[in-house]
Amino acid sequence: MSDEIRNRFMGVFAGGLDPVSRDLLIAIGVAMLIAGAVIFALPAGRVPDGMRRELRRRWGTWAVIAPLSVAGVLAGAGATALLVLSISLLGYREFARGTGLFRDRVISVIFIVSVFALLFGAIDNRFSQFTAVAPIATVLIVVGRLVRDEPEGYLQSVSLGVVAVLMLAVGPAYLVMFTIDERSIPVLLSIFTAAAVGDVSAFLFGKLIGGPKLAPRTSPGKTISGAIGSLIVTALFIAFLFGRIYEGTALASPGRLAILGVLIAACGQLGDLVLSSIKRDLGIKDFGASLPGHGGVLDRVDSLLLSAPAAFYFIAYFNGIGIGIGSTTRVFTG
Amino acid sequence: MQKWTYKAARDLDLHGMQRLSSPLRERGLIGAAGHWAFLSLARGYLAAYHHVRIAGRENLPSRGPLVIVANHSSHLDAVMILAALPRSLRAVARPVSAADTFFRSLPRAGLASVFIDALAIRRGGAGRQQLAQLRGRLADDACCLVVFPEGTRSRTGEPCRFRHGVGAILAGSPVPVVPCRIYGAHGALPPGARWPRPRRVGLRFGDPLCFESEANSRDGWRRVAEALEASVLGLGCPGNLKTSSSSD
Repeated sequence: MSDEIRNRFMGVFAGGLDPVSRDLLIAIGVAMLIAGAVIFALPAGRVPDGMRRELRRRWGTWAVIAPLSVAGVLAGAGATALLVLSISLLGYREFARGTGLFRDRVISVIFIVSVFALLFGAIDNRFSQFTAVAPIATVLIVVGRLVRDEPEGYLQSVSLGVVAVLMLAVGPAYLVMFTIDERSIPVLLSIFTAAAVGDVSAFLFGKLIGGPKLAPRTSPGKTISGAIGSLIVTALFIAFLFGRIYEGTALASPGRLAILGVLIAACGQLGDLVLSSIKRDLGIKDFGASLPGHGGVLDRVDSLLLSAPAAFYFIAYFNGIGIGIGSTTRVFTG
Repeated sequence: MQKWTYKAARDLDLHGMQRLSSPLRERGLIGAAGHWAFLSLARGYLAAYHHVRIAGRENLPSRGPLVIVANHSSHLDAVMILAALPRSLRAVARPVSAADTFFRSLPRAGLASVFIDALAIRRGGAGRQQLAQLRGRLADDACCLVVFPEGTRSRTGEPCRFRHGVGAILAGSPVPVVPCRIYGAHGALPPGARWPRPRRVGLRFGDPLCFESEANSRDGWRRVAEALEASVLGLGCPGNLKTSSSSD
């Protein structure tokens, strides 16, 4: 086993913790503690009981999923793949049960096969096969749905199936594709943290400034001030972190870092709006109740679905070699 | 252009035990695979260990909706009926089972849901709303419900009186009902026994009935139950069992 592969699969246990990841972990821990202290110390009289309970539940869920996600990144490519596998499968379950797609068993099977094909492509560093999964899955779904011999609702099932593959399998799989880069641990931690920073800052700016709504019919809670404030804060957060991670490479110019920051922040908000649109169309409030205080898995990972592929291609464009598209180190196959 | 209509899972807002024990439960891929695997094994087991004999399969329609009504004296009964169905019906078959027996604890409810896709119903008149839910599912799900109107396993092996709740699913409904008589299951696995004995078992499906013209009222339910009881009891033994011991 080559050093490169060992580093990918052992994560911090082989390569050690880099300074950016270390600082991020400390920041996450401190933020969790402060948030917990504030939420549990809220005065009973001044804040409504329902809201207090809701905030505590939300914090309790964070206290479980934050360490899980961090572990999934720190413990190397295999753990990241497991994390993404659960996001894709649980997300599909919520999407399919909400839309009724789950009654099309063939499409569910094709979805699961696609997820494994994507993860294999990502882990084994086969980028061309990785990118071929989406079109092949599309053809399989279009043909596979014929098995039921039930043309009524054909176009609906097929379309839902393709959206599911692109959004819930291909999108998150880019998180695993990142692991072929030697800097993947701080990069993934930054992207995960940016999603939380984006949500929290949008909430705070929206509450502090208020003003007109961003898209009242899609997501009545979001304000323009919240969106812009969150965009600026998240973009600065990303630009600062990636400037440190990619110091001395082509990516590390102020202009490029700013574009990358805006890209990740905007894609995070767009992903949020995409899933809000789906929920509105289906007439449901949350995708599930598996994460108390948040809703379903999809309600939590919404901002990663678009930002992961966008960030991947942007970084790969400027730092092609660093991210390993040109590299040919196979893990399973020689 | 017409809008798409989404038919979300009926149990979308239910979780955990609440979801498992609701008549609205709909299974996904794991449930379908577990159901298929368990019944494939059960078919082999019933043939090899109990030399199961099936008569009257020609009376079954090829597709749901359908209700099968049978006598009940053993835990083998539901498995025997499911395993005897043609594949198209087996995939959509759901035994209606007592909530207080099969859905008392999470592991039991999980097994009953995954292996035979049992739907829970509360016994003793409390399940009025659940009966209506079952009726609704038959109407738009094309499923095949398996109902044991005696309400419990017969402790002697002799069929008991049919309770009238079955009429609330069927009276006034165009869904066909196939009566089914089970023989030998009480001898093979009576209530209270831990392990099945290698006794022969058999079952016979009768001619389909329909209660569309029956009033959906207490009187109508009683008449449905009585008609079903008579037709189940009238079904003879499928032939591999001695008639003298046929009812045990």
